[in-house]
Amino acid sequence: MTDPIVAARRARAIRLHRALAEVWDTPPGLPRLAAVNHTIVGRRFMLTALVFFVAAGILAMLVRTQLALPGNDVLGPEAYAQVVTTHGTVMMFLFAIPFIEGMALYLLPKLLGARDLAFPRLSAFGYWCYLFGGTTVLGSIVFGAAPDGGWFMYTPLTTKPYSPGIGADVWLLGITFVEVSAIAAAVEIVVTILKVRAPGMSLGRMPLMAWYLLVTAFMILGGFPPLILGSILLEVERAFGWPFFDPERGGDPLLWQHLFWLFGHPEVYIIFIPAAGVISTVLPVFARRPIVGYSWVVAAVVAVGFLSFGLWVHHMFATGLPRLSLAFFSAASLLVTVPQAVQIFAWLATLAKGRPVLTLPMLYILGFFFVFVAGGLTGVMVAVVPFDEQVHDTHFVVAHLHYVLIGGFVLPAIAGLYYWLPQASGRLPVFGVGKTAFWLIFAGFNLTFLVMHWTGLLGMPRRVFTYAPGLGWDVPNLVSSIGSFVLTAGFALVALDIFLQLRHGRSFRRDPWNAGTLEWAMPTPPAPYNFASLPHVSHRDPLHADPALPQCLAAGEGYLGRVREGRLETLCVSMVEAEPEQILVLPNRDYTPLWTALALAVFFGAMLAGLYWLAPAGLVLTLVFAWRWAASDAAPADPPPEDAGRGVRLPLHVASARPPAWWGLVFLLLADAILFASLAFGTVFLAAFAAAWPAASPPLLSETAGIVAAVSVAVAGVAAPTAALANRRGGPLRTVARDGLLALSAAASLAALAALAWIATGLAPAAHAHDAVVGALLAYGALHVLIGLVASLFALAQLLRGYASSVRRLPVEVASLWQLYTGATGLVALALAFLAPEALR
Amino acid sequence: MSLFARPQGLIGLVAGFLVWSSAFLVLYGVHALGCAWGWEARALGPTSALRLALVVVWALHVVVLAWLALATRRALPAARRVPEPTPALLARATLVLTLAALVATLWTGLPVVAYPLCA
Ligand code: HEM
Ligand SMILES: [Cu+2]
Repeated sequence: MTDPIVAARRARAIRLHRALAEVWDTPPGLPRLAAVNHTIVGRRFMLTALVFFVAAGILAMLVRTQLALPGNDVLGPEAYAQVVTTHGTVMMFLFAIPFIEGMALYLLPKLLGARDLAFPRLSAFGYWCYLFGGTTVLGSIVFGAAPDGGWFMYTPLTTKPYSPGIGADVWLLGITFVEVSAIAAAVEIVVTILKVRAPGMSLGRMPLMAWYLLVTAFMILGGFPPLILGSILLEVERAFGWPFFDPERGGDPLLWQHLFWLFGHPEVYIIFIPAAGVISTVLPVFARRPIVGYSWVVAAVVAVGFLSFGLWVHHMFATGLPRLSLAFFSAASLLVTVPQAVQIFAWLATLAKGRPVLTLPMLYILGFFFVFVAGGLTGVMVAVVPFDEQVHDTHFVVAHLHYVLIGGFVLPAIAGLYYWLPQASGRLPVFGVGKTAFWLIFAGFNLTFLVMHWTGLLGMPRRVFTYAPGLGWDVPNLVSSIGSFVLTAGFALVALDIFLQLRHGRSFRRDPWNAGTLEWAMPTPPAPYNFASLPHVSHRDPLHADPALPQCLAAGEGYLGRVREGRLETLCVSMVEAEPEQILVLPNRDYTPLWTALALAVFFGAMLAGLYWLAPAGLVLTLVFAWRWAASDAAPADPPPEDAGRGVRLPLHVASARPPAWWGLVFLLLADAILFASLAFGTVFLAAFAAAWPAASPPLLSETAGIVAAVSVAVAGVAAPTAALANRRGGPLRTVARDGLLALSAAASLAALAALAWIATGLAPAAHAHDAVVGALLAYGALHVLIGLVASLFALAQLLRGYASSVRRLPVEVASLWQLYTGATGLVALALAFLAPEALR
Repeated sequence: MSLFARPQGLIGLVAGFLVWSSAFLVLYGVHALGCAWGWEARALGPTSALRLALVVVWALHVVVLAWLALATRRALPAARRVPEPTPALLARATLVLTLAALVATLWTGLPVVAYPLCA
């Protein structure tokens, strides 16, 4: 006999599930192109990343086949360069980072007790950018038009005279397109973690994984802009001849190395930190106790995030910088090991104090420990200056790199895959193939790369397509190649294992690992809305604190356990204490992300095809879709606060002072500011250090135009925030003032555009880097002024049509923030353009 | 209310290392520019103008960090009194991070005292 109370509860749960499923569902077929649900988009990211992994893995097999024997001729020198470059590029940009993003997008709402991400459409947009950019890069190898300048694309090798083909353009444009998606995902991750959690999940109760992903996302916002800037500058040099990197005309190839490694070193940690997050999540579950030293781990991850930026120059040890500069970087290299050690201690202490069980995910984590210790040792060796000069550009570096990337990322990622696969599929493994696969991977991996360290010490350079017999390189190369095939067999077995689990795995009720976090408090595979109602969290492991939680939530006893007006809803909370703050109404099924990405693809495609007249049309089209996107969010009247369940009344997000979109803009501008700082750095760097300065005929910049531009951007930058202030206060008089001020900011933006164009008439950007950097600064300003113009007009239009008000204030606040930022950076840009080149010599 | 219960408290978490980043970048920049402009050759007291500038930059950052660490230390008891666990946790993590940034800045900048400058 079932208890009638239990039966009633179950009936309620089923009714609620039906109602929610109806509004949250994305039917198969064509509507999938409009999918924005985080479960779908996250899975898409991960699957696509795995396809790229397989492709890059096949390229690696080609390389290892070529190197197996001396004098081999599977690949010629040109094909070899393309294959190695594409392998590295695809692995780093199209596999590792997107896989992490996908994992974050899929998991975060489930870990945080939310129904979806802060901006579901933004990650859908990011996915399309990734897919379009990524397929271009990978596709180029089929046509033999792939980039061949190395995954780090060093100039001058990648400039037009040395790489006249389209390969370098494919890299620069394709990867930049993909980086749009990385920035989008990072903004998404940051705002989701800070704002879209279950009530009561204060920061100190957040799963550690969320802390790791928060730091990762901030590192993406800090690390990718220099690369994006570098790629833009190099592409502009290749397309229009602006000589940023050409030493003859005032450029400097070292500028590329700086910009690239400002990104490139943090990149390794961007890959490594989420993997460590997997360990900090999985290891305590199987050690059967909470992690030791939660707050120490948080502090350690934040510290690694910062310190890893202090290492960029360590890739440039061999470029002849003064010894003191190198000393700074050597110091930072050693520092970064300290927080790593803190993490390791936390893991070991957790294992020691717990009752560990050796499950399959744990086996991969043990494999990680082994590799990490060995790889850490070689890393310290590379960080020591004299040693680096010896092994620089040999296979020792290749071996170290793969030790870190495969050991530090791929092994934990597989652990995470095995850990969360049951959550995603609702099935547990039945066959023991996983263990065999692990041993194949572990043996193959060490056979390949442990031995490769030795090849490097014997002096074999990297990126050479073949070698002569009799140098002692034959045996280790053959061993490495055999090992790499064993490794591949291991990966293939993992794929088989996962396939078997998905098809024939046994199903389970809930929480097979006895974990405490919220992603296990839902039925599996998860419904598109995750939770039928949202929990109130009062413990770091909510499921351990209340084992009956899943049933309560399913029956609608938490927050928002209802469907109202067919809306998709989740909650926004205050950042630190997670007090409920807003009801976030989310979109479902929208083609706008796809259209916007396609519009952006017109821009990138036109640039790649050399149709430079068409490229601006792509940008304008993108702005049009962005306008439609923003407009589709608006409500026609001020909505009243609503009941959110559990006796809480909350405003809808459109009627909130700081909706998530406002925070999204703040973090987007953070990335933008770093891009601007990189540009300022480039200007100062060239002006102070490039060889062919000062220019024979420096640009003639109209000072009158400069003053007009400065005054205009300043007026726009003050008028829009003042309008926002008047809007917040409300009242009839202020309403008029607000509209007038917004119109003024738009007019000032127009004037600024004209003045910037006027200044630009004094430039001959292809003649000398002095003109080129001034041109870049002006272009940066003009693009921001243009968007500011659109933002001011948009706010005004929404106000006049009644789609914005002093309550629904987002459009005005966005214009305010954007214009303020544009004013500030515009003034700095003008000052740099007019003063820096003279002042620095 | 404790600072660490408010969003601004999150800035504390990164403030220490932001100062470290500033130290790192300014030292690197002043060093590079100073060498380019020949400041090493200009004698100033017992040492060169460049070394003095670097030491001053370094010392300023260390002082700011020491002050930050003291301020965090003082805010700790108030954060501990909040019934919720998070403010105390953030305050502790902030203190650890600020002290770490202080040590990191001391360590990273140490070479400016004795290393050859522009060679
Ligand atoms: C599946 C096993 C893998 C094998 C057998 C392999 C093999 C190789 C080899 C032999 C090279 C160097 C060739 C040369 O310099 O002449 C190389 C380069 C590289 N690999 Fe891998 N790799 C593997 C996986 C990965 C993964 C998972 C990543 C990153 C997540 C990665 C990233 C790179 C990078 C960045 C380079 C440098 C490319 C360049 O110099 O432009 N590899 N790989
Ligand atoms: Cu590095």
